[in-house]
Formats: sequence, C-alpha cells, structure tokens
Amino acid sequence: MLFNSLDFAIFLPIVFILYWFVFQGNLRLQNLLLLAASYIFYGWWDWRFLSLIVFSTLVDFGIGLAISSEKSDTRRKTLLGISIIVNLGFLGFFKYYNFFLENFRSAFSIAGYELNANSLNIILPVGISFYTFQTLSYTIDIYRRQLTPTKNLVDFAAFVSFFPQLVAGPIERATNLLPQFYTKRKFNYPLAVDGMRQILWGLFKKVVIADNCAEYANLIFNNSEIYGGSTLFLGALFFTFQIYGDFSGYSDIAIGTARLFGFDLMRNFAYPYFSRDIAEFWRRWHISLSTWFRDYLYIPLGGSRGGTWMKVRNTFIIFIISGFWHGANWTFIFWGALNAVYFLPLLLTNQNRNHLDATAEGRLFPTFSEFLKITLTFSLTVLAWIFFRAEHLSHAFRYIGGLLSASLVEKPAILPWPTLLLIGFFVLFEWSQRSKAHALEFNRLSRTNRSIRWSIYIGIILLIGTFGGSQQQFIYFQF
Amino acid sequence: MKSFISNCLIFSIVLLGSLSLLTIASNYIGHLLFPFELPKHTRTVILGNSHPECAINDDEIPTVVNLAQSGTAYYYDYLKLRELTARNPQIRNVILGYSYHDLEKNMDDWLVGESKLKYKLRNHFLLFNFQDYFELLQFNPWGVIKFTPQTIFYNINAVLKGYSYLGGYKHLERVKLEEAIKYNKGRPALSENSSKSEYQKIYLKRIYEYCERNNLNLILLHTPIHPIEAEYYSPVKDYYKIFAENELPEAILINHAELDFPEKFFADLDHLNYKGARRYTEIIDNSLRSLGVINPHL
Repeated sequence: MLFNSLDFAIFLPIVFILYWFVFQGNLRLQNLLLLAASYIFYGWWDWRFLSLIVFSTLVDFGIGLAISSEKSDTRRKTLLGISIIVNLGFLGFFKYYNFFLENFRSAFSIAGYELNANSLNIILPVGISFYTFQTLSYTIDIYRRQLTPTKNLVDFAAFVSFFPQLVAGPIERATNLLPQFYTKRKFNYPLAVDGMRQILWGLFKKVVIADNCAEYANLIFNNSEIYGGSTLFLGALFFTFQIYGDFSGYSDIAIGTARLFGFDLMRNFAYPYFSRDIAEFWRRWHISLSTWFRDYLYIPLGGSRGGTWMKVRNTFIIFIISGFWHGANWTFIFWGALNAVYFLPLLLTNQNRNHLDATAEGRLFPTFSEFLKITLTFSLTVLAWIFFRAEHLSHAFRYIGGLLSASLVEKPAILPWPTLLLIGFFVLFEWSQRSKAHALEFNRLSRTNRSIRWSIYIGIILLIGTFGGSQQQFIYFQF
Repeated sequence: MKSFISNCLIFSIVLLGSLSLLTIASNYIGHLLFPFELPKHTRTVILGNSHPECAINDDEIPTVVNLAQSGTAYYYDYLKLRELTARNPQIRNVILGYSYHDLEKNMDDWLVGESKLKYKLRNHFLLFNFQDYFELLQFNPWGVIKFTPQTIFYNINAVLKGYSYLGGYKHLERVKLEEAIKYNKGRPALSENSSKSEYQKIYLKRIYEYCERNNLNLILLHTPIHPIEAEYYSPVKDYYKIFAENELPEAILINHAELDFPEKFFADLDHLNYKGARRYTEIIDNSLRSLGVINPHL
C-alpha cells in the first residue's frame, strides 16, 4: 500500500478509529491491531512475502530469548551468528544473488572458465533491507546486554512490522521503538497534530517535488546521449531533489503516521542540502541508516581509534557497504566509495565534526563563507547522485563527460519553469524552517494564529492538488 | 481526542469550502474572461482529436478554424461546440473527426482514464457547467475529485493562452512511420465484433442532436491513414458506416481514410505530417467547396 494512494487514505482513518475508539485502554489489543494492520499494509503488495517477515520475526524472537538466557559466551556468539546468517542470508539471496552470480561468471570467463549457473528471476520483497536491519539491531543489542528481550510475541512482531516505517524506514533501534510497545499509550493532542503536519509536508515533498522532478530526471537520464551539458546538469539537479523529496517525504509521512498512534520514531533527515561539508551531510541524510552502520559496524571495526590506516580502512568499508546496501549494482558501490573520498580529508584533518549546529543559526541568511561551503557540498552531492541514478558505471561517466562539456553554458533543451519554481519555493520554505524538526512545525504560531496556520495548510494542499505529478513508486522501496 | 476529531472535521469543512469556492470562482472568472469570440468571417469549426488536429492547416482556409486537440473524447468536443456556437453565431458548419477507432472500447480511457482526465479536465474546466461536472463525476468519481483542484490555476492559464489552450492545427515534423510499420508488421486485424465505447457513442449523438437543434451542418471526417492502419481497422468499417447512417442520418460523412497518399506524407500510421497536411488541406478545401460549405467569396 502506497502512502500517496487512495487505499492508504481509507486504511489509515479506519485503523486510527479502531485504535483509539474501540481498543483504547487495552494495550494488548492495540498492539494486536497494529500487527494485523501492518500485515495487511504489507500484504497489499504481495501477501506471499509476509511469510518472510513472519519467519524472520519468529527466528529473532526465539534467538533473542535464547541469547538472553544463555550464560556461555560461545553459545551466545553462536546464536547471534545464526540470527545474522538467517537475516543476511535472506537479504543476500533476494537482493544480491544475481549480482554475485553475474560477477563470478564474468570473473571466471576472464580466467578462461565458463560458469554454468543460471540467473534466477527473483522479485525483491519490498522493504527487506529495512526490516532486516531492524531485527538485526534487536539480537545484537540483546547480545551486547543493552536490551532485555521481550517475551511477548505480538509486541515483537508489531515492532518488526510496524506499518508506518516497515518498507522504507526510518530503521528503528529496538532500544527506542520496542519499549514503546510495552507502554500504555494515551492520545497526545499536540503529538497527533504535529504528526498530521509532518504527513502533509511529507506528501508535498513526495507528490509535488519528487514526482515532478522524476518526470524530467527520468527523461534526461534515459536519453542522456542526446542532451547537452546544461540539460544534463538540470537532469542531475532534478534527480537530486527527486531523491530527497521522495525519501525524506516518505520518512516524514512515516514519522507523522506513527505519531498519530502515540509512537515517536527517530528523525531520518535534517535538511541535508544545507550542509556545510560532507561529514555534516552524512549526519543529516538517512540518519537512521548512517547511525546504524556507525553503531553496528564502524565502532566494532575500531571506529576512528587506531592509526591513520585504520581510519581510512573503516571509512571506506562503511561507505562502500552503505552503497551496496542500496542495491546490487557497481554504481551504488562507486557512489559509496566516492562519498568516502569526499569524507576522508575531513576525517584525516579532524574536521569531520566542525558543523554540529544548524546552518546560519539565529540568522536569516548564511555568511558568504557558509554560502560557498553549502554550494560546494551541494555540488559534490549532485555529482555523486549521478552515479546513484545511472544505469551502469559507463553511463555515469558518459553523463558526467557530457555535462562537463562546452554545452554546459548553452540554454538547456528542457527548461520546465513550473517545476523549477516549485523547487525554489521548497528550498526557501525549508531554509526558513531549518531549525525545526520538520518544515511544518509551528511552535509559536500554534499558540497564536490559527487562521495563518490553516491558510498555509490549505495552500499546501492546493499545491499538492494542482501540481501533483504522476504517481510514482517510492525510490527506496527497491532497496 | 474529541477536540482532535472535531478540529479535523472543522478543518475538512473549511478546506472543502475554500477549495469549492476557489474552484467555482476561478471557473466563473475564466468563463467571463476567456476570449471566446472567433473572427467574424469564421463559418466552420473543426473539432476532434489528433487526426484532424494534424491534418488540416486552418491558416490555408480563411473561413475555417481548427480547434481539434490530441486525446480529446467526444464529451469535450461537445462542451467546446456548445460554448463556441453560443458565442459565435456566425458558425454554420462543424467538422468533427470521426475515425474507425473513435467508437472502439479503448476510447473510454480518453474520458475516464486518469492519464487523460488529469489534463483534459483542467484544460476544459471553464467550459463546464454543474451538470457537466456531475455527469463526469459519475464516470470516475475519485479521478474527478482528485484533479478538480488543479483547475483553479489552469482556468487562469486558459484565459491567458486563449484558444490555443483548447486546440489548433499541429505542425507535425516527427518521422516515426518506419518504426511504426516495423512495430505493427504482422499485427492481426481488429475483430469485427470488437467492443464499442458507450461514452463515445452517447456524446457523438449528443453533438449530432445539438447540431440538428441549432441548424448546424455536421460533417464527419476521417482523415487519411496509412494502408497498414486501414487494413487493421477494415473489419469495423461496416459498423462505422452503419452507425453514422443509422444514428446520425443528417450528418455528411467524408471518409478519406484510404485516400492514396505517399508515405512521405505520414508522420506515423495514423497522423499526417506537415507535408501531408499541406496537401490534405487543399483536398478538404475542395471537398468543402463542392459541398457548398465554403463560400469562395468570403
């Protein structure tokens, strides 16, 4: 079920009313309802893949309890190993089988051998990368003795499959989300209202910004050989806003929806395109994944401790794996590696934690130096997104070659003013709200002028109704 | 909780009220300001989809205005016709695109399918009255509701752009015939008993009745198509002809589908390019003169 579909517009109020009116006061029934709703939500795509989630849930529930009751370190480690193998095994099979097979086949072929194995026609289950990482965090945290396992299967299953964030995150930590399933929930008016606002802004980002940009990004990337540099630049720019609008829009809707049910999910985006360096960008982009890798991979590998070589090695490992997590294609691996290259100078000069505050905090405009830093960081990001969007590496290099040609200064062949103006409005609005958790958070106004707030909501709904692009699948579903 | 629900309800009412008000107001203003008047010497208006849109260059025939537009269902042609003739009493003749495919079932999509509805609703909204809107609402309620807010901005846009927003001759330069022939080679002909579009039939008859009531000459026109396309539609030719004879008996049917045109005149299998349009405009001009539709002294 897509967040931007009629199905969801009907589904959400029904679950909401049942949750707060029929099952209020009964935590068990509320969790059971959330579980049932989540399975319906997921099964809407393909009910067969529900078996994967159920299996993964049962395995991790059992292993979690077993690890907790086990005294022997060796056995605890073995149990954790089983959990990791099962979870990553599923992920590896569904997502990476054909990729590895193709690459092995090519490698053998170069060495003069023919590998007789056929590719499989595998459909990637929606959201598998997200819920796999979420369940992994559960068993790892229990192994580390940072979390007491739940004995209630319904609570655990609801945690794994919680529908607002099931298919595209934020990837929640068990330590944050699971205890919320144990706590009696009381309807929180400000939280719910703020949730509604965040849903509205998420819809705007997805339907207006991402879907409109997608139309031109697809057109230009799919026909990149016929366009000149300036059009290719616009194509990369459109994709830059498409992916941000699409993914952060999804996260906003997920967080807002969870709030309607009394849950607080972690923040996933913090205005990343206003970052002043790449380190700051990665603290603001897909925060739930970046911090997951930091806590469960980077730090166990040694983090920034040790010598320069260790730092460089760990940085590359994290970024490359992060790229590979996005998809089985060398383009994603290259994108990850390129970001590592961007990040490295900051790490080696100990400047990777320079910008921890909001950009131009307390001021309307950035200083000239801040502006230059933001522009440089944004440009590097746009360049990296070309690899992310390209069909294959040679396509990306050809695209960049075409972009950095003399035709970069010519008038673009495609110049969709309405979309560019919408992007301009979007950037200005987000800039004005950059110190808030999301762009429609109105702390001061909420106490004062309701008519201003409501006019803004109606204006945004009007923009959604007027400029809503053709409905597109969320990009991150494929990951 | 109660205040949340009541606030949501109040907001929904305010939202619905504001959007309705803006929609009605922009429709009213659009209708009021749209430059509906055609030149005084205009006697004939061309309506229909991309076939007449690309086939007749109205610059070459002074008393004719081509307002056909690609992807237009008869429903929208009816709205255009009603408004145009009410505002321009000098119009005496209506040429309406009437091709073999126009009655086929898949044409329903041109009216109720979301991909077309999205553009056609907003482009034609200033021609709607309440009854037209509620009629369309019955066919695809969710689609119509979803795309109605778009009309607020587009009504204003229509006023600024004028008639070019509703149609006009399209100078087609594309060269896709070879590709289309290759793609359609070996395609089995359409079944003789293929399903028909009830929507298209209803509104075609409504156009006919309107013309009858208002003493307008209705000319049904099939512009030239490539022999491969004519062959594909050949099983439904009889139905096409009989429908016109039985249901639209006073209308004049000009079927130029199989006119002998060289390949260089086609943009693809069913559209003429600008060279074909240049030639076809002469042909249709002569046809209309011989029918007495065009007065050479004007």
